[in-house]
Amino acid sequence: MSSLLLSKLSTKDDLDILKGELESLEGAIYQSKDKYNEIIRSDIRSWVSEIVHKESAGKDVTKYIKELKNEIETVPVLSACIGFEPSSSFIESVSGWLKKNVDDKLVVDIVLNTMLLGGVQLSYAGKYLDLSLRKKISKELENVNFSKS
Amino acid sequence: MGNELTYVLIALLSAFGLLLIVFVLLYLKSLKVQSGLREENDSLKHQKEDLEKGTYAPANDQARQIIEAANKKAAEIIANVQGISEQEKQILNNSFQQMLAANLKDYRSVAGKFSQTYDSFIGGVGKDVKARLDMGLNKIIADAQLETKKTSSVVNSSLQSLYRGYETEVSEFKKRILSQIDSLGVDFIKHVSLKVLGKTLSKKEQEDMIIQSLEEAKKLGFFK
Repeated sequence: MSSLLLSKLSTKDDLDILKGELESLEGAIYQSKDKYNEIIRSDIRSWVSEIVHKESAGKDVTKYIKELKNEIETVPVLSACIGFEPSSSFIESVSGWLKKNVDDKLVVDIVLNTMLLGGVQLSYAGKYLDLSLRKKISKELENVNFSKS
Repeated sequence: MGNELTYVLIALLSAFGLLLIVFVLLYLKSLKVQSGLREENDSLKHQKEDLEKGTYAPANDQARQIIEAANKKAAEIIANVQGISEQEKQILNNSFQQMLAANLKDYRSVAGKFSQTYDSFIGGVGKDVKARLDMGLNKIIADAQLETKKTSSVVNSSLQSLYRGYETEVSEFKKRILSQIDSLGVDFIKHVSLKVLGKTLSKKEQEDMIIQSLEEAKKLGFFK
């Protein structure tokens, strides 16, 4: 199973929100069908509920939600530390680039750190790469002359 | 009376002639002794030169080797120091050269003292040249060998302590420089970044830089 929901996720926040929504749905299923319908109408984002309805049609909803939750746990996360507050369109650009060039399920976890000055520090699958301007300038500083104290 | 006077005169002349012959013989003998002394003196000078060359050559070689090794070691240490300019490195190199030169000067001073002692000995050579020469030369050779050993040992140990001191000094200097860089902090980096970039980055430039960084990460194989 590969849900369309996962391809719609851009950030780790999106992923966490979806996890919460699925938890609510799963809890409602065990209560009653009415409760489930109430939750999916009122507490779940419309685009999510549409996909859930579409993908669970004719299936065991409990099994569908469980499989979806398991699949979510496998979604890769890229941590990107940047030096400015990103706009929504920029996050979409970054996410689009990552899905196209790395993994179509990959989500990005953006962390703000103004000390970077520019560029980005990446952390992914146990690896770390510092491509920040701060790092590059610090490297250049090694060639700067200092007078002896 | 006339004949008696003639005999006396002849006798006096004969005696004077004998004395003259004795003086001539003594004079010739004296010339021979002087010539012998000159030859011995020349021989001594040659022996002195040979002695100096022979006994000091190994010590000189050793000192030279030590100094070359010291230079090499110093150059390695200085070349590996990060965070200092070429000019700073040149200053360190020059300082080390001066310290070595001072050490070498001490060594030569010891050699100079030996030479003075030897000259003094030669100046005191008298008639019994040969006996004293044999005795003196043996003593000088023994002294020279001892001095050479002492000098080499002094040069060696002082250079070794020089390495240690110098290495510590370079290490401390390096720590100081790194600590200075650390203490510069973000403000300095920002200042330099602005100087380097010539302006504050716009948001668009920031965004472009991140996309470029992602491209760079991909080229580096970070996402594999």
